[in-house]
Amino acid sequence: MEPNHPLTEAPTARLAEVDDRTLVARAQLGDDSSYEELVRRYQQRIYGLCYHLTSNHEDATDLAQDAFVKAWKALRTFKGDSSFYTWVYRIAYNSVLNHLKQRRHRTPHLSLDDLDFNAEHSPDLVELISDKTPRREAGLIELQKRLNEAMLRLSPEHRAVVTMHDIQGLPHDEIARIMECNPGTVRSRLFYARQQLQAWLSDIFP
Amino acid sequence: MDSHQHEFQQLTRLLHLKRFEVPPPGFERRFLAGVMTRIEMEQEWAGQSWWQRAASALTWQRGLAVANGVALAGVAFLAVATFHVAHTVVNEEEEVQIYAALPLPGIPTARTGENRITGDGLLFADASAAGFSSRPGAPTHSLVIPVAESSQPSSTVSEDSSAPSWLFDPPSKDQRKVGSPRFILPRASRSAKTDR
Repeated sequence: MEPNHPLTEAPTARLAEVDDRTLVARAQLGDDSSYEELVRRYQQRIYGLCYHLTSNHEDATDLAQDAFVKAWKALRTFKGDSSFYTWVYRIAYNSVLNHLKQRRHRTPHLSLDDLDFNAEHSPDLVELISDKTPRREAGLIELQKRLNEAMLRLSPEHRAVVTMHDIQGLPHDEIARIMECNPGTVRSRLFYARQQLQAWLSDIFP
Repeated sequence: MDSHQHEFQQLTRLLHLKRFEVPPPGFERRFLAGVMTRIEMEQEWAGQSWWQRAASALTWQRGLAVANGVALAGVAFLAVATFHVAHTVVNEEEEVQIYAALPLPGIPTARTGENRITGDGLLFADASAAGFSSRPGAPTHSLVIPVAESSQPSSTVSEDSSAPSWLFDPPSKDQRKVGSPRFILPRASRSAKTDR
């Protein structure tokens, strides 16, 4: 580490205002607080990807932490061709794929307590369940359970596309960079996955 | 794509709900602390030399396990070696007894004190009479001595050609001179073994 390097002289209190590229450059020079800020920024999203792909909180936490540690180890090789976010996302996605291949027959643990209370006030949810079930809470839990089960029936690649696009809101091009495939492949996978989910949840969508 | 969007409108709205699935309270703080702790450990690990890493990895439980493993491997090796030696000695004794008890098929046996010459020009002699059997109770084996045709005494010649030719490689005429005696035991034993 070079103590007098200008990149390392920025006060750590203002790290939240620093852009990713600068933080990465500082972290490459050995500034751990910059890397900590990067982890803080993206931990929710990386954890979300791992959680929606594994449906298991403990596995998702381990895999997301692994992804950040692997990224830190390989930080010196990061050239900045893509954003740090895309790069870490790709590392996490590959880690989850390997994990799912190794534990193909493991029964996933679906934690129904993980749903945020704010979900009950979502207009989407209210519209979906208010006039269909007499008890909203039971309907909410049942809906989440059915959706998670249907998601788990998808292949990991199709589940990843649905997670990144429909849940996390990433654009096709970004997903294509993460999955290292064509945007057309992403679109076709998304269409097929939606078709499958719609068929499996046909009783919810008459 | 618009038609697809409309087609899957309800589904995508349902999938949006999964955004509300959040980790347990306190997750962010614990997650960040976990990542940074692991990175610190990696840094410490990277700063150590190979012997320091080995020493830190070798706890007393692991040392005990390694010692147990080595001891077990030694015991197993000794057991295998002892069994091998004992088995070899027993086999040799068994072989001698078996071969002694077996008759040698198709081989003219020599009665004690009696010598015969076959058509192949081999002299079957009583081995015990020749002083080759030294063990008490050991069987009497025939001693085969190639003899020259000229040396065959007419009075004791037995034109017994019943001995199978496959037992021996008949010596050529040049070789049919008086040579060193040879036992037929090895060849006869092998044939007895294959017959079994």
